[in-house]
Amino acid sequence: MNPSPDNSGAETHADARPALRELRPYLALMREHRGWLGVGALLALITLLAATGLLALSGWFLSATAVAGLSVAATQAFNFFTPAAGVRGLALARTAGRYGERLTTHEGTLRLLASLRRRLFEAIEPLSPAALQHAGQGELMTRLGADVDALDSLYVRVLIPSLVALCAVLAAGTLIGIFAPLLAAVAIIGLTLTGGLVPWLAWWRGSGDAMRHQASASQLRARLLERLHGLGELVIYGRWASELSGLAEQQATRDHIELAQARRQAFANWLSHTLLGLTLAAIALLGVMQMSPSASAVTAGESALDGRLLALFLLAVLGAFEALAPLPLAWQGLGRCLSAASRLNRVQANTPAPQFPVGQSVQTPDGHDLALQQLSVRHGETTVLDSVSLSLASGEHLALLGPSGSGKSTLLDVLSRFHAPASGSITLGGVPLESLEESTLRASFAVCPQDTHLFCASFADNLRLADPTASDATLTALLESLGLGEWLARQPKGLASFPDEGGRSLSGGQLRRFGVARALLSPAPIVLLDEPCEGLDRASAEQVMTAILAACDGRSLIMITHQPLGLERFARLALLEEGHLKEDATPTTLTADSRLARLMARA
Amino acid sequence: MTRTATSPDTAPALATASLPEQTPPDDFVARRWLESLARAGGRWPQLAILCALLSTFVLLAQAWAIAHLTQGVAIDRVGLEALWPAIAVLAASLSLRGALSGLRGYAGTRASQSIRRRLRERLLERFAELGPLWVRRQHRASLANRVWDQVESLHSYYADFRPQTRLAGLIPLLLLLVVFPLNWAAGLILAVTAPLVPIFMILVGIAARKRSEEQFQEMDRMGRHFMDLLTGLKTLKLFGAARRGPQVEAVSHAFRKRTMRVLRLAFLSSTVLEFFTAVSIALLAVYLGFHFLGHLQFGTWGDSPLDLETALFILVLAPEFYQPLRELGVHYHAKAEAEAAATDLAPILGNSPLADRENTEIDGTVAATHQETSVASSHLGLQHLTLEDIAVRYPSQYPDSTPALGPLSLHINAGEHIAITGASGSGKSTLLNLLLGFVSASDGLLYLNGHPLSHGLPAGMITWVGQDTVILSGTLADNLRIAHPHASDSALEAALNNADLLSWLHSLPAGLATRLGEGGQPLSGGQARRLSLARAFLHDAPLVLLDEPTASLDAESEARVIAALQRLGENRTLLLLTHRPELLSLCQRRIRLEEGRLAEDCPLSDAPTRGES
Repeated sequence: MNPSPDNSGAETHADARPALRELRPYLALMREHRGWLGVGALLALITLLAATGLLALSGWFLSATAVAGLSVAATQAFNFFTPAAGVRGLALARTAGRYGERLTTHEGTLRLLASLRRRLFEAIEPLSPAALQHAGQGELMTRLGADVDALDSLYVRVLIPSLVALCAVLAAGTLIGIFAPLLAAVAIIGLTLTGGLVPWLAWWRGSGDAMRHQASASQLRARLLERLHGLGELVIYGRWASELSGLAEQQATRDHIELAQARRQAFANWLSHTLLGLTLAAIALLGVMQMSPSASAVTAGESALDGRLLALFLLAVLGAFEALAPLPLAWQGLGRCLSAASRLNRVQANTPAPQFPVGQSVQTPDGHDLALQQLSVRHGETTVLDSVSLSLASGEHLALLGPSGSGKSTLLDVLSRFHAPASGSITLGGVPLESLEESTLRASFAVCPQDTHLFCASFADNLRLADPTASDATLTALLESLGLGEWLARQPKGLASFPDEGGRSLSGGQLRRFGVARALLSPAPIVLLDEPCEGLDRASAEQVMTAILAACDGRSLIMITHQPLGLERFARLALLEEGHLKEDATPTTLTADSRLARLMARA
Repeated sequence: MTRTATSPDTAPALATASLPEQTPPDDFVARRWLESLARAGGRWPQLAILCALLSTFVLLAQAWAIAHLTQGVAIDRVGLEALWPAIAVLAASLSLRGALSGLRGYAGTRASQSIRRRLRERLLERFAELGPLWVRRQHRASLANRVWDQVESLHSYYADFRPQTRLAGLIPLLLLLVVFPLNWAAGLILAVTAPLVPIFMILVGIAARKRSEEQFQEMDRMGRHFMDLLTGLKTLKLFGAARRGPQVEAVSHAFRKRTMRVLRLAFLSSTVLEFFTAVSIALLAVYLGFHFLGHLQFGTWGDSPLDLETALFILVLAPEFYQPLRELGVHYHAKAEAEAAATDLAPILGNSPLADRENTEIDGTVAATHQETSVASSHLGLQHLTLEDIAVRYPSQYPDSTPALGPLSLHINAGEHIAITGASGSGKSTLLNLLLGFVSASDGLLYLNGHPLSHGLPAGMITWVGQDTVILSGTLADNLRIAHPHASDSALEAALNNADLLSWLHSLPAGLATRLGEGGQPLSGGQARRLSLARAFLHDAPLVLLDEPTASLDAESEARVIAALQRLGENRTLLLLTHRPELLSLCQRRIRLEEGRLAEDCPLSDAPTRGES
């Protein structure tokens, strides 16, 4: 319960700064949407030109009119129509440009996000779900979701604003460059330094903190979730108050990181303003030197700069800075995008994805006889199944018994090819499992794993995943046969009702039975059920068993269970213990000293 | 975090009891609620505002420098020797503004951080007050979401939005006070356009608001859809229904279309601001220029003519006049988020979120008042426990409806082992919750050794072994010390021995320091159950409540749990909620409940005498 040990791992991890190249696949994605983003950037450029131009032209207009106002002749000769119209035009261009820019960049970004989600989903989809959900990674899915969101902010907060800032620097440079190339160079260098160096520093110095902050926050959140879950026990044992102080302590650590980030941000703010101040001072200095009467005297008036332009230069740089100001904060968060990207890349690279054959190597099974030969399966170092040989003729019903942790569920993962065996073979209809196309494999097995996932879709749609053609009457009859009729009657819209989040509208036993119904609905010739009667009282268990056996008439069935209930109704019985197949018999051939016989007697 | 069993049959019974229903507060209440929380920020919010105001004064120096420089080169035609002070002021003022804006951000974070910390503490305290029964009725993720994400979403509100609301009023006023004495016409242009801005923003905001709520929902739906497919990936594959990439993209595009519909309107409000900023700069420039040319003569005070320096000074200040309002617009989403969070959190904490801790009774769900107790309190002893005409109704039940439990009278002597049976919904779990103090009796009284109890048995008197074992991520020793914080290692080993986990302990390389929970040593269902029993041994309370302690265990695990239960029962009173014949054999008496009432209370003839194993 001390937070320190689980921190350490994450911290050493957070210190390793992911390289920027992790972002490459996500940058490439932008190319697809360069149309919208390009128009957005162009509009941003126009808007910034208009905004800086408005201020700069106004500044020049004032200077020019003030100078002209000194002499009556100049006053009368002064063409005020063009600049005054320019000022009004720029004011409108700025307003319309900003609106258009925001709409197009958002349109482009949202299109980008749609592609990003599809790309990520398609990258994760082929990975083995068993490997993804392997021990200790239960939160992985949640984290993947959060990482996708973090990548959203890569575009919205980092890349697009950086692009706009770049445009702003170019706009200011162009505007000044028309009159004074040297000053334009100073402006571009100064603004690039401000808009490049400071965000880079913010990223370089801050990304470690950003990742530590995120790691600490997600740990804290996980711990919170866990302690809330255990609130009952903790209150009964009088431990809640000390849990609270533990949480507060851990939060203090995170708050420290947050403050360090805030300090760094404050520094970045000061630094970028100071650089801006120096840039403006340099322009003013050079400007004054070129504009001062002595300078014009030396260069005979020709190359001397018009003094009325100084306001324009200064205001143009100030205008461009507006686009640079949010960059340090955005780049400080880049660490989070990077670690999200690197985690997603790692998951894609390190999770095994089963390869399915294509073309020539595809074989078609002959019948549905299933045979396991000398099958061994490992999870890391531990051997879960050890040289298991088992065969199941088409239409046979087998009950596979064994205590929790004996490797029964792993067997289902291997049959679904979510987990690759270490050695041995599995054949279906005489063909190795690896030679089957994915569609053939999926159409051969109807699987009900221990955890039933209900999608945010109607109950009917959830069931029709297994058989899209099933009628409502079939579904209702199936649910009733599994003892879910009463539950169904209570649903406000019957089969068309939606489960609430996480399937909470069903109790654990109901959810299990719903999963069983889904598997039984599938027309696949081999049915694999993992603990279908878990959490049910005896009467319900008997009912479910009857329904299963009725639905599997003529189909092969492997039912995994640890409850010796209704076993006499199975043609074949097998006992799995510590990864070894201990017994494989029929109810009639059981000897009196067999463990299976004793288990059955106990029921 | 692991919970090693599924489906407590207590769940349906608990589900009938609903949240303390309160009418959701409207915006005004939400704002007041947020305001009352702000106190926890201390002096930091004021510092943030002060920094921004000081920054405005420095801005005046910056504007003067620019104006003075231009006047110098364009009109006065002076050289560097006369203008270098202005150049220095220009650089220094920007640097100083940077520092002030940095400090303002830091102060905002400090303010928001102490508010968030305080609120989070209050929420967690409140959860304990509302009790485990209430907590269990909530979606686990949504509670963590409230304490963590929702509180976190208040950050921008307190760090940025709230100070900005003050500044949006103060800074323009300050600038008006500066501009008016210089030129009343320019001041008038600013003063006239300024009030129009909020009016237009409100008009556009009202239209955008409803739609932006829809957008929040859409975003939520898109995120959920993605997560739903991700977590259900295994199921999709098993049914050969994967390849959902195009669907993911289609949902995202639907989201995009609806979002853009919202944004087209929402961006209008910021465009209004842009427009006024641009128009007033243009108006000022044209007015000032025409003034110089002599076409417009009004605006100055007295006879002093307008010079370029003053005119430029005003022009540079003009965009800054609207800047605070624009920033307010940028942080506007923080307000919407904070109000949404407030609407959700206010019903839990009540309308004064920082009120001191009090044990409040909410609709019959009793505040859990168990304090940190030493195990020594068990010396109080249990001689007998009596329930007299007890009736329990859950909050969702009408006062005159059939109670979930009772009326029920029962007498339990120390040392008895009692099996409590009954169909699901017969009141078993309610009885258990009553004894644990998670729910209070609406009628009748509970007596301990003849003394009436107000709610539940005192901590230290009672232990609970449920169907689920809560495993906290931490070491094995940490997980055991939940039950007895100061237990020695040898006491832990003794408890593990009693729970038949000693051989398991010896098989663990790290022993008591083995890490459990997420990413740690996995526990089988039977091991987890026996860990619960080990906690009960350690806690050493005279009364132990057990809820189907062998549910979903295989035969061998069940036998080991039963043997451990026999040891546990040697000098304790046991109440067992069970159907299993194996467990009934541990008991001397059986109580059967039916629809909350006592249906049968009889001795179990074939019960073994105590101590036999």
